[in-house]
This record gives sequence, C-alpha cells and structure tokens, in this order.
Amino acid sequence: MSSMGKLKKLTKSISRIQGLYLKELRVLMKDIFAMLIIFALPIFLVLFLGGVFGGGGLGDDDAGGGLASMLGGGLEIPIIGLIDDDNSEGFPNVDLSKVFVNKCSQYEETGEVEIIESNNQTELEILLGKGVISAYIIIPEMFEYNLSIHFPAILFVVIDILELTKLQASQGIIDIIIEDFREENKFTGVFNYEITQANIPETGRQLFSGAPLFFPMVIFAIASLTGAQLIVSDIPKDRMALTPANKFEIIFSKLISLQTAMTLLIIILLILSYFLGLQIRGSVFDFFWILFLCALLGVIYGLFMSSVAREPLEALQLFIFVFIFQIISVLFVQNELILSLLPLSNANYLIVSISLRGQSPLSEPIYYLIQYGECIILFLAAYLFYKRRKVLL
Amino acid sequence: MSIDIRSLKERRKRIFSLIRKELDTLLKDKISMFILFIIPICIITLIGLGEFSLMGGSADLYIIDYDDSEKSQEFIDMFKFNTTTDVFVKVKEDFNMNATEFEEYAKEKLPTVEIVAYIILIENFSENLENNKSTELPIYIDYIDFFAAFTAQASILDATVHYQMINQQFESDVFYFPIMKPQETINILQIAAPFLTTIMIFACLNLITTQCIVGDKPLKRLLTTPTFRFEVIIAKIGAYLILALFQIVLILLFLEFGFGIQYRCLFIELFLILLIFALNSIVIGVFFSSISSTRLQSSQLFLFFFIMMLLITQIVRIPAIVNFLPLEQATAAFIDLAYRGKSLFEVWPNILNLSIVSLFFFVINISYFQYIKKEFV
Repeated sequence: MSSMGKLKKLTKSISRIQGLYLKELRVLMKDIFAMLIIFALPIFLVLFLGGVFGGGGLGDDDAGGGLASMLGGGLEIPIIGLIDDDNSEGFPNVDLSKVFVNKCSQYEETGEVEIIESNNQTELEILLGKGVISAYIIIPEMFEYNLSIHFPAILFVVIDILELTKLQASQGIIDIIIEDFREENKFTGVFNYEITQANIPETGRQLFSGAPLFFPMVIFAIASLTGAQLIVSDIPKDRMALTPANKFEIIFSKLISLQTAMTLLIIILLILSYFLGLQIRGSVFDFFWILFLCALLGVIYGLFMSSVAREPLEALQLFIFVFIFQIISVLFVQNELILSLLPLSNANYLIVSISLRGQSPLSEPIYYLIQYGECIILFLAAYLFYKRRKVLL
Repeated sequence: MSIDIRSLKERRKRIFSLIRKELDTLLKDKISMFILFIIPICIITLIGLGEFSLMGGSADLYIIDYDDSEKSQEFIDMFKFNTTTDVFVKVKEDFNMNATEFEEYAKEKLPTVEIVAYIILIENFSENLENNKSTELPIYIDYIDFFAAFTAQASILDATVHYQMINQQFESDVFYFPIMKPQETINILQIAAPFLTTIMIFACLNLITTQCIVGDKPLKRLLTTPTFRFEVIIAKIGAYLILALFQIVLILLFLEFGFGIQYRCLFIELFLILLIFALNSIVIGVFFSSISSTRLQSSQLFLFFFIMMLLITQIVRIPAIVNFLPLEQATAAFIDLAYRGKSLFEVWPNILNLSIVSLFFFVINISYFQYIKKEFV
C-alpha cells in the first residue's frame, strides 16, 4: 500500500475513533443517575475531609492535638477512669493530685473526655475489659512529694488496644491533659521538649492527611468500576462489527471517553480541595498527573476485566476482587514488591513524595515507569481478549 | 384444610422453590463462588503471613550540636548506642559543616524521606543542665508520615529518659509509660480481624446482591406466574443468606485454625452476630438493586455507600452518623464477643441497631418492589 493510502486509512481511522468517542461519551453522560453517583462520591469525600460536615480527626484549629488526633481520634470522646491514690505532702498550699483531678474535670466540662472517678482499680479493670472505658489513670502515692523534691512523677496509665480509634483518642487526650498540667505548674523536667510538628499545613489538615489514601481510592474505584461494564454490558457493540470500525478503535474510544469523564472529575476534586484549604508542597500539575495516571490505570484495569468477563456480574466480581485486594494490601501489607505493582499503592506513594513532600517528579522515575508499563501491557491484554471474543449477531 | 392454610403452604413452597432456583444460579457462577469463598482466604493469608509494624521501622535523626561540650556529646552517644529503638543519627561532622550550616541543611531535608526529625542542642546545653538542672530541647518532627513521626517521637523520649537515668539527673516532671491491655502478644491479624471480617462480608455480599434484581433478566417472565413480588425478594434474600452462612463459617474457622485467632465467646454467638450483619449487607444490596435501572447504577451505589462507610468509620467519625453504620456496629460487636468475652445478650444494642436497619431496608425493599418499581409490569 502506498504511503498516501496508509495516510488516508489512518485519517479515516482517527475520524472513526472521534465518532465512537463522542458516542461513548454521550452514552456515559446519558445515564444521569450513574453520573450523579460518579460525581457525588468525590465531592462528598472532599467535603467530609474538608470538615464541612463537622467531622474529622484533625481540624484546622487542632494544632496541638498530637499524633493521636491526627490519626483520627479527634471526635471520639474517650471515657477514662481516674484514681487518686496520692496522700503525700510536698507543697504547703496546694494538693497537686487534686489539681490534676481538677484538670481532668476541666477537660470533661469542655466535652473532650468523660471521666469516671473511682478508688478501686479492680473496678476500673473490669470496666476496661468490658470496653466501657478505654483507659484509666492512677495518680500514685508520692506523686506530690516526688514533684516537690525535683523528681519526676510517673503516672500509672493503662490503655485498651482492642479498638484503635478509641486508643488514639484516649492517648491523645491523656497527652494533652498531662502537657497542660506540666506547663501550668512549670514541671518541665530535665528536657523541656519544644516539639514542632513540621510540614503540616495551616489549613486543610485533614484533606492533607486523607488525600494520599482516599483520592486514589475513589478515583481508581470509579474508573475501574465504570470501565468494567464498558465492554461486557455494551450489547450494541456487536453490531459495530458490521461497520468499518475495528475492535482496536472501539476499545480505544471507550478508553478515552471514560478517561475524559475521569479528568473532569479530577479537576472538580482539585478545585474543591483548593477551596477547602488543601495546601501541597508540590505543583498542582504533578498532583493532577498522579491522579490522572491513577484514573487511567483504573479505566484500563476496568476494560481488561470487562474484556475477560463473559457476564456483567463477572466483571463486577472481578472488580471487587481487585479493589478489596488493593485496599487491604495498602492498609496492611508492607511487602514493597507487591505494593509497587498496585496502582493504589503507587499513587499513594507518589502523592506523599511528590505532592506532599514536594520532591521532584524525576526523583521517583521507577514508580512512573511501572505505571506506564502497566497501562501498556494491560491495555494490550484487554485488546487481545476483546479481539478474541466472538461477535454474536 | 382451610384455604388460608393451603395458600400459606403454597406460598412457602413457592418461596423454597425460588430459593433453590436462586441457589442453582449462584452455584453455577464460578466467579461468585470464587469471590465469596476464595477472596477471604487469600486476604486473611496475605495479612496473616505478612509483616506489619505500627512503629515505622527505624528513625533517621540529625542532632545539631551548638554546645560542643562533653555533655552534649554524651547526649548524642545516648542516641547512637544506648537507645532501645532503631535510630540512625547523623551529626555535623558527618557532613563537614558547622552547626548553623547543618541546621539549614536539616531544615531543607526535613520534608524529604532522608530524615524524620532533627534535634537542636542549644549553645548553653551543658551549662543549663549543670546550673538550672533543666534545658530546652527544640525538636522538629516531620508529620507527613505519621508512623515515622510516632517512631521518632518514641525514640527521642526513650533516649532522653535513658540519659537521665544514667546521669542520675532528674527534675520535676510528669510522664507515663502506657501499659497496653490485653497484654498477651497480639499479632496484626488479631487486631485487624474484626474490621477485616466485617468489611469482607459486607463488600462481597453487598456487591453481589446489588445485581440480584437489576441483573435478573428472567425475573420479568417469572412475575407473569402466580408468584408474588415480595416472595421474590424473600427468596433472593434467603438464597444469599444461605451462601453467607457458609462464607462466615469458612472465615471464622480459617481465622481460628489457620492463624490461631482465639475467640473468648461461643462460636455460635460470633456466627450469629455475623449472620445478622450479613443479612444487613444483603438487604441493603437488594435495595440498591431495586432502585437501580442498570447494573452500573447499582454497583456505583454500592461503591458510594462502601467508600462513605469506610471513610466515616475509619477517619471522619461523625458521632451522629458513625453509630448507625452497620460496619461500625458489627465490628464493635465482634470485638465485644470475640475479644472481651461478652455474651450475645450483652451486645444487644448492636444487634438491635443492625436488626432495625435490616428491617427498615427490608420493608422499603418490599414496598418499593411491590408498589413503585413498574419496569416489570
């Protein structure tokens, strides 16, 4: 075939892809209910993390909440037991253990903690075992005396570790109460720690800490779930075999139409996050590109599942397998080889390194290369599976 | 035999036949079976055999010494040699810099993964310790990675306490070393099991049931027979519940015998609470399936609900919402039964909550399918 003929063929192919792309986009947008859910999910996510609904472990004013509150314990009101066993004398005009008890009550009044006072450790042990309280503090004998002779006073603190959110909340509030007590009474110890929590922005802290996990999760989930239905549920696609459009053009147009919708979604997500105070060290373009790649991988994973599955239900089941496997792996698995192959984990890593830490995108080429490689291999595999699929006319 | 009783018997017969039909269809679907029974095994194995540590491994620290005294060197050595946690310390001599340059360098490196924190030993460090018995200790910790920050903070506290003990240098201070209970060794699978089990049951069952009406093509033909619409709903819920029953038994047995997770309650109690939760997941899935007009819509509804529930139970925890979410209720009940040794009677608020939510969605399903959904007419 002459080069002129090849060019003509290519032009026709591009024009067919363009037509198919518009058709696919129209089909996607026609399902208003599905589109509403697609767009509502990230919007709700950003609003939740942005604290619009009042929730959150780390509000913008929560600068001193410590690690525990940053990990999500901010709104959990812990119930803590308290025993004052101290009868020692040290300071003439003040009972320090009472001051500590009053400090706890002060925090109880502000609704940050619920205190159960007792004089029986066994009772508190039982309550802890039953999950009624999440921790208890015992002010030991010699508490005041030790402080008066310039000695450290060590509180006896027992924490229940069975419920992680309560553990974080109770440890967080105990730290705050002790810190307040130390500062108010100038018991700063040998080392007066002046801890600065660096690299955390002034505003949008919860968005900042939630973005690496939840942004890729939502984008990947929507892209792959929608993509998983694109081939297997598209009944009129078989009639396309009667037209000059080939299978590559069909699958490619599906890919770019869904990716267009996903791009729009990412832009909305970024604009909303910006208005809710998300501050990142890296450039917005790099952040966009990481999410774009994550969406692209989601779409391609979806198309692959859709081309492998024989029934729409099968495609959905494959989706849930891939999705849950990734969530669990990101949360609990620490094997770097497994993690480097997972789009969710890669996006998570890249957001932390490039967008939050502000490293150069060139500093992590391997993670990008893995993603590009996965895109090409999976897309080709999806195409081959789709090509082998028999057309039922 | 009265007509009412005969009608009731026929109804029961029809429902059982429908359950059998649903089960036949589901059992033929190999991928459904794979999702329901193989995924939990894979995930439990992955976590059970994997390594996990709450402490983010080692902590890389810079110590900027403006004091250059014997005492400051002793302090640095405490981090280098005596700490019980994994700490890698670098000082200005490692980079051939003076203290000011080194502080600038540390500031620059703090947002990167090179260091987690840096400590400044101020100019009068030893003088303060000798004269005032106390000194300021400025510490800058990178909080982008919470676990690394947690490790760094713990390592710094550990080293400074050691320093005080060895030098017998004390000053009025209040601190604590938390005692974590239960004290027996708990592995990551044991901590994760309540959340993991409930999330797997919810995700698998809810997603599969979201397709049970919207994806059931022969349903339209079925409804031209004397079958009532609510019988179809009951049969579908019944069929999925039978599968859930096997899935729950498999998960619980695999956790117990595969990875040695010990339950402090009767097996049947744990099984029952998870069965109620499974019913909850199924009725919510059927609801999504009823109100959707395409498969995609119903699966997106699942995704929306699932991610929102995950977000609220794990991160945002809005009190007005979190206590009504099935995942939260089931996880709490699992912990109370399996780890706290409570009885089924003692977790009645969770059971009541789950039952009310199930009943609510069941009634909505019946009403919607019976009176509102017109596509089959």
